[in-house]
Amino acid sequence: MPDRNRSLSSAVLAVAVLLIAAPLRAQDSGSDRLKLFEEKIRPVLAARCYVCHSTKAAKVQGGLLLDSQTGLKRGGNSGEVIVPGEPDKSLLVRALRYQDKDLQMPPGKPLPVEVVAVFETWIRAGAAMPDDAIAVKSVDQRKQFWSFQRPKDHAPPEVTRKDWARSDIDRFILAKLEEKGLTPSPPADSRTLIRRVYYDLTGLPPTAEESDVFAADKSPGAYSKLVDGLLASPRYGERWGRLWLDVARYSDARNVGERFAYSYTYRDWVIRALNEDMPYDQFLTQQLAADRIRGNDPQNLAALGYLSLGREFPKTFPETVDDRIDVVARGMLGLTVACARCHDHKYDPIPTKDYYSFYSIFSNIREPQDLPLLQTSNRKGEADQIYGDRLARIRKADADYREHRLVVLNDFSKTQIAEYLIAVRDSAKMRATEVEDLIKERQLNLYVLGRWRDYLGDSRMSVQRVFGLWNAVAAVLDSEFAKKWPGIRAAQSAGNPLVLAEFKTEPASIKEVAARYAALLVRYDSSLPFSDTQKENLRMALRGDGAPVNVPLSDFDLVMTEGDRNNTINFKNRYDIMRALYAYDGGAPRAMVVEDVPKPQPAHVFVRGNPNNPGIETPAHFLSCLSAGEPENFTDGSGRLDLAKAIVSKDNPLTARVIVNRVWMHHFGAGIVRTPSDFGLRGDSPTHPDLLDYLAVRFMESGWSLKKLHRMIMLSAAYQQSSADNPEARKQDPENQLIWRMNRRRLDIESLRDSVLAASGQLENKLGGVPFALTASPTVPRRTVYGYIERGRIPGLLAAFDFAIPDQHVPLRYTTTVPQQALFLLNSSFMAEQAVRLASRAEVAAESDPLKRVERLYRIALGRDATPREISVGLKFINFGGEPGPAANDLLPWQYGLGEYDSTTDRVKTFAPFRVFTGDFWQGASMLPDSVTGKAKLGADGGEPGDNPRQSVVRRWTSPAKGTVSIEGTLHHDQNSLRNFGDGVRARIVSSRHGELASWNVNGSSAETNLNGIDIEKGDTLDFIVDGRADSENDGFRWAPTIKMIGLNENAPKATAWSAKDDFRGPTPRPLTVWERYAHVLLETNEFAFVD
Amino acid sequence: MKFQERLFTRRELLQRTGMGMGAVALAGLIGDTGLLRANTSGSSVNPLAPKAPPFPAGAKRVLHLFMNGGPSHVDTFDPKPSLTRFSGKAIPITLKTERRTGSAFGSPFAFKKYGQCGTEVSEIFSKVAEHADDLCVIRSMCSDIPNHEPSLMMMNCGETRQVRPSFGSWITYGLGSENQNLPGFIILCPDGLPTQGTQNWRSGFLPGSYQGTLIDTRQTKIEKLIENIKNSYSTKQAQRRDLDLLSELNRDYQAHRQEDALLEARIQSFELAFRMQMEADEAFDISKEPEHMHKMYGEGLQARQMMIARRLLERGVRFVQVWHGAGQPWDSHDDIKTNHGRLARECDQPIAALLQDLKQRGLFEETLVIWGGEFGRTPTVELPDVGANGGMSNGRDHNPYGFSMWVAGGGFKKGAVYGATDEFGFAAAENKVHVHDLHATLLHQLGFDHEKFTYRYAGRDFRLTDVAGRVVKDLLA
Repeated sequence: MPDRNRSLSSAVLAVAVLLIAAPLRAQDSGSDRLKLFEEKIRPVLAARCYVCHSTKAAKVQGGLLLDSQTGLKRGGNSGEVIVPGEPDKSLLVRALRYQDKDLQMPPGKPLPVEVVAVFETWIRAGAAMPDDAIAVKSVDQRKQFWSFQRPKDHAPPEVTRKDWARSDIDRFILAKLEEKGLTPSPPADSRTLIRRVYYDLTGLPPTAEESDVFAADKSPGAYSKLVDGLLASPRYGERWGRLWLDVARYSDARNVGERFAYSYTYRDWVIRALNEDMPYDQFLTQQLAADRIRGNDPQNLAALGYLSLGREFPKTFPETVDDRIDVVARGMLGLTVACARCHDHKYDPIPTKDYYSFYSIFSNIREPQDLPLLQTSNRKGEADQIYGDRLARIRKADADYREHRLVVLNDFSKTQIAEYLIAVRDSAKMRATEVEDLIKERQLNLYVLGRWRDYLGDSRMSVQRVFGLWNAVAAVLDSEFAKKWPGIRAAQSAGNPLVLAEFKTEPASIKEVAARYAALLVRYDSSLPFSDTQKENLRMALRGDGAPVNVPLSDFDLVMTEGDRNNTINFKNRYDIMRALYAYDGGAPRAMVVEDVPKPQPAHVFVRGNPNNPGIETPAHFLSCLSAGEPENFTDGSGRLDLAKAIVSKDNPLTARVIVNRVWMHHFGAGIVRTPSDFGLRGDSPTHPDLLDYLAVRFMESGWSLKKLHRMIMLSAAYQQSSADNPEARKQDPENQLIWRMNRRRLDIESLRDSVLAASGQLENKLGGVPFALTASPTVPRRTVYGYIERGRIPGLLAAFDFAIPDQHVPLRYTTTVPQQALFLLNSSFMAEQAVRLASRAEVAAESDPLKRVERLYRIALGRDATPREISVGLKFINFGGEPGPAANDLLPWQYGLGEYDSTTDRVKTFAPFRVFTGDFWQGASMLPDSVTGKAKLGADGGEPGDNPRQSVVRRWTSPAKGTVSIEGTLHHDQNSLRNFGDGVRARIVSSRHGELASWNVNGSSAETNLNGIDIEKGDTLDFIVDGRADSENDGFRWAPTIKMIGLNENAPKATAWSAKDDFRGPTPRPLTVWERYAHVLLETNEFAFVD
Repeated sequence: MKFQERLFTRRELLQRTGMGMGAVALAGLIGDTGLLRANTSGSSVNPLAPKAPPFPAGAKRVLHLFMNGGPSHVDTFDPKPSLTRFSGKAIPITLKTERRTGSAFGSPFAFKKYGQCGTEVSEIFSKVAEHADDLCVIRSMCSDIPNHEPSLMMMNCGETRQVRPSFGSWITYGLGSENQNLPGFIILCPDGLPTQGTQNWRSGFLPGSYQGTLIDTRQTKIEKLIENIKNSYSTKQAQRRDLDLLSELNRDYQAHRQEDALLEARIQSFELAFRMQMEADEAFDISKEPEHMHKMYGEGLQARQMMIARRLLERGVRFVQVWHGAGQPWDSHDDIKTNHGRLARECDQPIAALLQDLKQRGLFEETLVIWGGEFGRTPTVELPDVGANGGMSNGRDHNPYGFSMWVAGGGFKKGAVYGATDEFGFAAAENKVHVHDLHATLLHQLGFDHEKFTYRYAGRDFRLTDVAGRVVKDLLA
């Protein structure tokens, strides 16, 4: 705490130093000294010594514990092992040096000299090691940390100013303030309070009228009635649901371009659950294990989006699992379990094996092929039929591919019989990693090798008769082969005679034995059975059910090549894309569930986080630090339901505290624990530990009711304080940790955008449904929570305003101030559009008196009456009037829309301009596909036609003059990564005067679309129309022609050119009137953006 | 409460000084000390305000030329005569690659010595090679995994799998930006996103304002380059009047809330935005470049990008990363000769011109110019595989075991070659430089100790170099 009497200049210097140091978390000198221990000493102790010398050792050797400061200092049965400053006298060093004959550690082989040297250096420098309280404590000791203890039901403390406290919460707050000699702030005035309450509970402002009513209501119950009313509003779920979506790293797309079909059903479930005040313990249980709860309402299956809507890495599965572990551990428990992935958690009592016990849970779930319906389609019929067929077609293509490739791969394996036989022999005693190297080197398949091994070991008579000779040969050393061959051959007289016949002559080597086997087997590889049993046995060695080279279709994934993997992933992607199109095109909602795999397999520790380096097996169980004694293994499927029960158990000290703290944080702008997703040893300590406990206990007692919790917090005097400054208090507690006032807060992007829409009178109250595009113009006036969130490509608007980037769980949002925010407010079409709407609201436009209009605008935009000064400032602005706005863009002759070509009349018979502009495309709706326009869209470079000829896309050019035109351009259709499907697109150029001028088909190809000498009259149109031909998959195209015209009339004597690409633009902006500009400014004010 | 969270609320900074003075006055004082090169009051709340690094720095800004897809080192900056001799024969090295590879595959390109230093460079980079005396070529780079995605993450974020902030985000976090009217960390990439997309320049757990801003350099319209940069609804004069009104209303609101720096910061951000509208337009408009500049850079998208890059660096943008193109253009699994030939042809002259241009403007010495991909390619030929490549045997697979990069300017050695791969160019053999080491060294040149430049998140102090990396002093002049 700075000295109050510090001089001004040193204070300034302090600020400067703070700013310069800001990027660094400079470590203090103490931690510098500890660094050597943490980085060089402890890892060696852990790796080489803990086995025998730690609290976790099966049997502690020599009474010596090296895993704590206490142990290291105390030493073992032979006394102290460390003499600080004196390496030579330290038993530890002597042991490491192998100096004495009877004391050599670690046993077997000394550590490298340079490692021992580090120990010497460390001891010479004083052997600094961290206090057990922070890091070295054993798991049991560290379990004593406050957050691992069950919250106690503390009695509210005694306070002096009894009149201030309205609730127990207040007594906890006030006691701390009084301790410091501080006083709380006076209550906020009623208009400030109602605005605060509205934003807190609904994310929206009250209207001026609502404020008036509340201000006038002096009855004692007025405030609690207000709170209750808002808690009952559906807007509450939209607000608090969004806050939970931050926790759940919610996204509508797995990654860029990979839209989830039904993510919105999870979002809507969250909103509904909160509106219904679903008890929080159930709320969590549903999100972890809705599918495992008996008799569960099927609607709750949507809750599983918590697990299924994360990132996914098709080729690195452990990352997918890590994402799930993290979102559960930090989101629900406030613990950084993910830190224990590569080594035991450095601070918290979370051993690596606990991470992998969670891994056992979350690696044994998958997305089922078919997702459960939440309700039946409203428009059962055409769409279901169309999309159903398309989806089935993709599945069939996938199945056909696998079947075909399996034959190829099995045939290929038949060319490697000899290699496999040898490889089985060579790999018999190898470790898993060595076997992997071997198969890589010899270009074999691991799974097929395993099948050979099993098959050769099969005790069935037929197998043994065929391979008995080989097995006997394989068992001898190469060097002894020649010597032992006669004996082996003689002992095999009962073997398959055809095999024996093959070995009439003595083979030169074991390799040759394998080669003769291979040749023999291939000779009898026939699709038809033999009547001769011996021949048939040979045939079955390649064609029988268990034959190593007859891999069944169900195991295709295990034998496929890299290329097959790419191709099958392509099929899956293609299926997912189609399913998402279906969902957005009216497909009935489904739950994005997960299910347990049929046979859950326990995971192994990945030593140092490396999946190729498996350690001990780790069955699914709960965290040991939150269990009494050793945690019991989970038994129900993957263990999700057991996990949920453990998380919401009243014995769990964290779950209630974590959520209570999150709720507190959103009400006050800062949590009681200011690291809301880290309640571990490195997290911040609670500012009011007893209050946190008190709230957690009450919360659980209340039946985990969030609404009761809000009520309890909001009815406190602490919450109702003014946010005004108090310089004295600020000096003592600059961060307002003691809550001597309410924190002023800036609206987050959801509240800001929603409030602008409320002011413009546009905001719709529709709940739920598929997302809309936030970037579309005209604006979709829905609440921001329903906007489309694409992981990896967050709309600039959201990113600039500190939105929760859904790459991973987000504990709290930042509040940054960057010019991109101002650019949005100043220049976006959204803001201009809303300013126009606000200025033209009936209440405003109806007033002819400018003064009254200003008053009206203030009441609508800022929810209060304007002051006389504000009125005069406003009128001055209005009276100054407007400079003329910018000239409208030259009217361009281009239009974009849907149309249909009619071959009987040879004309484009319909044309309907697109209504929506996304910033990149003109299209029919903010999100595609849309039930009327399909997925049709047009942009600067090209676009995509819809599903049928009626949904062809038309870029229409209307001639401004009479003349002769030529057209130049290239039509492209790409095979994207989803290769080989669809039939490309057809493009036509159609003149309103001459009919079709030319047409082209492209499919993964390009065509020059150049035409010359077309006579044209003023007002004629040229339509550049593209349809998807018979198959409407993969129809994206690029085509942006240029038109050149030699004008024939006097007004356009020179050549003129129009480029479809360069001319492309959105709706022509209209300059704002002075009133609209005034409305615009009011929406930009700090008053609009901040809540006191 | 975490330090970095405090960084953004100057209110708390002010309060920590224990002074009850207004935000504006104090901001003035800070400005006067010269320690904070702030343009106006309130900017200390601006996360991109320029900051001095904790140690003396050899470089002020970074230009990363990202040859995404993985350029083959044995065809560009690491000549391997043995490989040519052994061409078509097996070599005695087998390392795990993504796909199967076969025998040695000699480079189809000729190498020759350039400059005083005599560094050998492939003919396909003959123009860049004319700057050989200014390049520090590292021939012993190595990374961890032979796939694009993790290797891109390693090169850009210092970690192959988990979500971490990118190098550029770290730098803008640590140094802010010299130009408040442009984003501090800009990504140039024509025509779409590279593999891994925005993750390559994400801010991770750092605040979103440190995320890179992507500019699609195929776009020529400024409003496509920076969102909402153009006002289409008013004249500049009208907008100025609007802002004056806004400012007046905001001052009234602030009168009783003097202690709150966020309010002031928001007022200033509008002024900043107003100026940015003009400056950004100018910065990206290469039609302002004289004819001889266009000649020097040449034609095409790469020339356009490099010219924009120079204009941005010149204007004080802290970190510019230029990608060759969307996807992974340098990923020549087939037909190295045609594909690498074409790719180098596209960027050789523009890069050479950019180096020249930086020199003649006096920007070169304080700019770290980094050239390279996410890894190199195998010296052995890639064997065909169903659906994975074009079924041809004249390309190379991914190779993280050894590859080349070069760094120029920023206090790196000039005309130097550091490290070497084995005889065939498969793996780094002498003086290995892991990506972590490169990061540590680059950070060092920018004035940071890579072990102390940390950020507390989720219970841990994170750094760009994770738990590894060392400063390779031998790379430095």
